[in-house]
Amino acid sequence: MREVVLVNISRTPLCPIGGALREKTAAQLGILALKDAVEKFGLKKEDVNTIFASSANHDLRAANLGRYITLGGDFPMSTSSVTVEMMEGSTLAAMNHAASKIALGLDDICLVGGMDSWSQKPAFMATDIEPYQMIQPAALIMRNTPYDDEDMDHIAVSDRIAKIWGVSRAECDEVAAKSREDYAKAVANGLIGDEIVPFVVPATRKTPEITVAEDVLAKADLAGDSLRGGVCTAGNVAHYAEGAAYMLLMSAEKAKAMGMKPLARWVVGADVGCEPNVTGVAAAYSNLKALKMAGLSIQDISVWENNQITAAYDICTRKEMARKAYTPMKNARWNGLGGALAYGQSGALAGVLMANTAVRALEKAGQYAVLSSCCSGGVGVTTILEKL
Amino acid sequence: MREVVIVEGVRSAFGKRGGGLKDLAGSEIAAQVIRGLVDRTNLLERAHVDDIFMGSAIEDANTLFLPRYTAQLAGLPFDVSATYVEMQCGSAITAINHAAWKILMGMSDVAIVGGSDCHSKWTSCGRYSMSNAPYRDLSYAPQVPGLSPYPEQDTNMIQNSDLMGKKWGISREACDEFAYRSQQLLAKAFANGWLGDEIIPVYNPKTGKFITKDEHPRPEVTLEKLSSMKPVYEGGVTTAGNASGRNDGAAFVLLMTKEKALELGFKPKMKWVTGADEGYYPNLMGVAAAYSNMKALRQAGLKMGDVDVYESNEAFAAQNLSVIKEMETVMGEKMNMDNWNPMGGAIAIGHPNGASGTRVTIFAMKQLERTGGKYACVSSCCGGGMGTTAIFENLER
Repeated sequence: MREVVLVNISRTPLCPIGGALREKTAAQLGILALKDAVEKFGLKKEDVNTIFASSANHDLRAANLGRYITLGGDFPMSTSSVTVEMMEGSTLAAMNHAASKIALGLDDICLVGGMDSWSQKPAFMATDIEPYQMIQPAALIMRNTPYDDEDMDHIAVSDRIAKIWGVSRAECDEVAAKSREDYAKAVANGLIGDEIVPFVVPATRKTPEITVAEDVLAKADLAGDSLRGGVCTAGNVAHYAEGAAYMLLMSAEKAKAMGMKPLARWVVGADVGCEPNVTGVAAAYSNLKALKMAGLSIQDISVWENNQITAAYDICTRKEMARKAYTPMKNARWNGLGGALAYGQSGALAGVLMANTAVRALEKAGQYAVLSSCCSGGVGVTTILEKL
Repeated sequence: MREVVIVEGVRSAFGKRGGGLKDLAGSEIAAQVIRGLVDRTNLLERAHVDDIFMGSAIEDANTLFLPRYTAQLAGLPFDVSATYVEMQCGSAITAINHAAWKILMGMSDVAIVGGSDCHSKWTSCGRYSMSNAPYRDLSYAPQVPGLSPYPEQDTNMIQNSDLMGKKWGISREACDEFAYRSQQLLAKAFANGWLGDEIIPVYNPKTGKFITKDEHPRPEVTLEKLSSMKPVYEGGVTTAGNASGRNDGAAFVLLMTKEKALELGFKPKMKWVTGADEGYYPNLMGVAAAYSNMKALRQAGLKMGDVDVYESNEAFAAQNLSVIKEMETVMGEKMNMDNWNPMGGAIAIGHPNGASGTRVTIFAMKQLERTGGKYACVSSCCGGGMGTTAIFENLER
């Protein structure tokens, strides 16, 4: 097995739903960011072996997302492309697949990209319903599970797991506030931002050209009402953010040959399912599975990055890990540069965003980073990175 | 060194569009097939299933997370992980490759891999543009699906087939003969009992019927009838008779390490040797399978003649014949047609896209088992211009 390294990261700024990126579909964002990424990474297009593409919401036009964005990116026709999807954990899963392909000697250079739009989220209509039964085509409700009692959204799951694991509203608010504080600090210190390629909103007759060079955050009000009678409020649940983000993975030898300094070494990946009604703790199980595979223990890990779709997800994941491993989890090194509660839940992009904050955190201290995400429907996925 | 083996392969019968499976979403057909696989092998009592890898070409009518939804519908334990791997018609072959890599890396031991598609339940996509001010919104805007953002690359499949026919000099006669061959070989395989036991009956609750027989084959069709059909586009070689169908169905294989197979008492049938994928021009997409084949053969250190069975999904007669011609030209060897889709292909049996990759794998497995051949090369072209291939070695010789 060859050594696989994460070499670089490039992304659009994240914008909230209805923000500066609202006119772009997932594939359009993906193509845009892909072209920027190739330039930023200093690659020639013909150097890239395979492009892995992911989207949690899927795209309006492209059922073949991987190939679609590769064609849109004007890559040589022989460049391989594939779509790998695992909802919010997609880019972690795709990174694990790409790393495996490289480790086994089948590829040298892969791009792994996540692209999602909430503003242009596709609605799917059935074509097999008798015409006279339909007044207007109604969008199909896409489900994560066939069991009605498990088919809960992230807010319902959060309220539920908060009850089970004993998490209060105050604790959730605290985690949300800290995430935003840590994120702001990281941006101010230049730890987040270099990986962003500015997005230019073209001028119109009424508005000037706007350049978005930083993530645009939603207003976060922690004093708001409980959404459904539980711990979740608009303030402690990540807002919807959209954009596209890419990682460059290579074999270590290729990176060296090309004179590229890697950010981290890919160690291992793991994913495992759990009951959908506790989806929010799924990452606890994939984390423990990955640690076991890597021969590591919780104490060996300096940096934890978790997709904070809600504060309850964040806290309960830690609590469940501590419970199953009989080891208390330290708070300070968990999402130390802020997370989704600050910059938004971005569908498939989460893995790339966490890879960035993980390598930045590792620069300061520590050897290993564990990146994880729960996925709607009850799957947890994890990637472990090591500082070089 | 870990080895990846296939121990079982099953599929639903493939339905016609609007046929016996029309009321079931791809995920629902797939769930029944997986249930059938589990029952047939007593899988859950014997083994811990780590993964389900699954793909489809068109969006499922129930879910955005196809493999996870399907696994739950099939009654698999909640801890089985799920990954969607999509490469259009080649999805299942690519999923097999991805699963094999994961297993070889030690990150998985047992995986159910395959795909499904239901053309009868094709969904159309609407754009409710959140960005438009309400006064601009009259209704949702139907989206025209596409395989490339460039219109000139996004020619339809029939046009692509005709283009390949033209470029590789495939005559109308050759196409019809190939289509006839596909129908005849499939019929012969069923008649001899070489095919059929891989079918899991699928129940359609709306009609109250079990579907147990493929609906697409036309074993009675004559070469004369095929020759008399009008081409879809004037001047082209592609007709409804020498093209694959748009069908409903699902197919899965069971992968595990060789070690695990022996431990659990499963008979390893085929070993995954290597896999490859390569891109090609979208409007000549069909020939991409030649390129992924040649890449995989190179990786495996094999010559064309070393392979005992080639299963290459028959998107169109012109497509399949172009693949053969291209491989012959580049490799400088002649393809032994006795070894090419020896039990017929998609032209006869139909093409529920996500399932076809595993269907051809199962066919290859059966052919190797029956003839004692050593290597199988299984491939598919993919809409948008990708070829995907997996090479297997027979472990039952």
